[in-house]
Amino acid sequence: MHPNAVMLAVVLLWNLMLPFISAQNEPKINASDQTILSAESTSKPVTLQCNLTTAQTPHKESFWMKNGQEITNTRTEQRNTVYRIAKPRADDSGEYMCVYTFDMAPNANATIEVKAKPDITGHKRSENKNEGENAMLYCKSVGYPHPTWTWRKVDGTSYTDIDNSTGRFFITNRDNYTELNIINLDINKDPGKYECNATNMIGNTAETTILRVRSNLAPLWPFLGVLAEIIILVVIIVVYEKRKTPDDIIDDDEPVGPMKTNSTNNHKDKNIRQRNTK
Amino acid sequence: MTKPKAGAQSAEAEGPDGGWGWVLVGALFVSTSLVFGLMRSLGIFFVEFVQYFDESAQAISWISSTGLAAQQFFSPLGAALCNAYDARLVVMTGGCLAGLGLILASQATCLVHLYLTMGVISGLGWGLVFTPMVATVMANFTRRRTLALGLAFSSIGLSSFAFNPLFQLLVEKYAWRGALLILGGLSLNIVPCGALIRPQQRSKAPAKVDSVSRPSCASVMHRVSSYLELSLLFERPYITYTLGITLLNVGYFVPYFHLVAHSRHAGFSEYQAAFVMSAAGASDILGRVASGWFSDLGHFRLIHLLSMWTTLGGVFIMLLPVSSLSGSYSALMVISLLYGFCSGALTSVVFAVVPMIVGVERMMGGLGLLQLIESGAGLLGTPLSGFLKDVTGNYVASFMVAGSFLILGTLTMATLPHYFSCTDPPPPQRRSPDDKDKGLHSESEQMNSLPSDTNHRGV
Repeated sequence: MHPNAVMLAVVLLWNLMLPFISAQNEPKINASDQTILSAESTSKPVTLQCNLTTAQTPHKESFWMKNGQEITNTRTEQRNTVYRIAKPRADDSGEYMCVYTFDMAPNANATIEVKAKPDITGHKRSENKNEGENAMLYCKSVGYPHPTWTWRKVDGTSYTDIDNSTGRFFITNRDNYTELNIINLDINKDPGKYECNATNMIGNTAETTILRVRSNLAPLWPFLGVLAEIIILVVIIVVYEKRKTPDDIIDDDEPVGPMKTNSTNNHKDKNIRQRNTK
Repeated sequence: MTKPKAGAQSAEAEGPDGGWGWVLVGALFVSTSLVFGLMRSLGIFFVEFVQYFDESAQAISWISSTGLAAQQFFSPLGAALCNAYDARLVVMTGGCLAGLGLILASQATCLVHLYLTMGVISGLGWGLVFTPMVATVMANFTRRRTLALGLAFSSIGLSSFAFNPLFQLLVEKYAWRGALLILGGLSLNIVPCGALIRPQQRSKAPAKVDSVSRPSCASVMHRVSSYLELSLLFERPYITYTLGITLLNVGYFVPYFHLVAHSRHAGFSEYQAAFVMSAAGASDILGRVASGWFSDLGHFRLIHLLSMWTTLGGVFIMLLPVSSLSGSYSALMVISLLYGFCSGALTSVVFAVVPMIVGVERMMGGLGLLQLIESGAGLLGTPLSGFLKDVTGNYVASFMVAGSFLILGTLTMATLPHYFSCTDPPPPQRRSPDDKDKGLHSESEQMNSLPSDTNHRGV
């Protein structure tokens, strides 16, 4: 055979074999598969398992991490480490990692994804603002993978996308949080139900917030009504009194009947002074 | 002016028990609810203020403290103005001021504005309304005086029940500015209530003024002090009574502020604690009316009834922490109901005793001064109980001290002259300044006086 062809074959074979050879030196971890939490099976506990099958050097210890942060009280020295979620909820979902530390070698880890449908944990039920003010509607969620957010306006059963032709709507999205800001509220167009929708590869959820816009002049009408009522009452009372003859008013001051002398309460009151007799 | 009657008694002395008096009771009902019922329900606005002005709850609570303090502080002023001018005009002015304060408050842009408008202006208005209206109603009744007062004061409890949801609705619908504007309009309803007061046939002005019409500094001062009834401050019965009521006021408000917190502290749920408070409020209303009706039956002297209600109230306040110590909800509920009944019962009688001591004529000024002096007690009592709670860690000491203040008030009232006699002594007779100087009795007073009692001044 041509010597160049032989050399090429050897190099190719070496490149093919290299991963296998080097893999022999790396620790191997046997990890459980990704789990999908569903809303119905929240009572079924979820167990994540990692088993260190081969390692060149003995490992020091192992622990679990969730979303890049170490979970407390998970450090053990066992090769086979288990993390148990007793009552899994949406916020138990995330990216879990079992990490093995070594004395003489870098850490080894394996990732297990626990996915769930997003669960909206915080939103305002209603927002009441005055005309011309700014409204802020928000939605908070838990769940992994992080959802994408959309806002819609709900009108009975029909959904319409938000019409931002006036440029007053601002949407800010972050991982598990979204905010809809409306500036300079318009009393005719803006009131209504707004829905925030969180969607990820597992499913979606939505919550609605009712936005009410109060007119600045609205309280004037009841106020004027009360004022009118008071003025009418005062006029009636004063006119009624003017129409009674002065004698009638004097008569009222006189005692109605015989002195009630049998009660000790007023027995002495009758003796109260008369100042200047007119 | 009046027909000559045996003893030349004035019309207001025995008073028509009924007729136009009941219309005035209705007016007092409405105005009291718009003054005190409104004050008690302002809590809903405070939540909004905390959020809007970004201030602490304590800074916001000063608004109602200022309003209450202003109402009590300006009470003698209201009384004096009624003595000088016409009660009707004073009450109508007070109603306008109260409404104006709230209307201006709806335009407030900072917390100080609220202190000035809702606190000072409305408080001034309330002060000009409450004392004159109470005195006018009392002047229009003699036998049914306490019942009239009891019926009118029951409005405080009833309106607290009604105003809380109403204010909540107003705030939700119109925002706090709009709600305050509408409240200002509602407060103006005091004006027609004041218009119902019949114009005075007699004015105190001529009686109190010397024949000299040229205003000199001394005579003006003399007039002012007679309008304010400052001479009452030198009379032992009045001072004793005022002191007793002041001591009562130190402890009286403590359960209102701390009962709910104490119930929660004792381990009951929020709902149960609130229900205890509502039950106490309901029995308070019942107590006012029942005590008013019972007092007017005339079986006992008013001062004795007042002492009884105050002592019982003090005892029940002291029993409140004891009943909940055992953890029994029904015991706490029973004691709270009893406490509510007694505290309502004593409010009906407190004002009705004043004319017994100072006479119907000086009642207006007497009430004003009483309100002013007892205002200090209210300001002292609640912080003191809060301090005791902070120091001891629970409410037992606060309630014990509050109850003991009520009992102390009763003991003070026991030192009133003629306390232990079975019949009321005749109220003091007001003598004109000339007579006082010269030591003479006026003719009418000689005719009026009983054989045994001719002079009760300064006893």
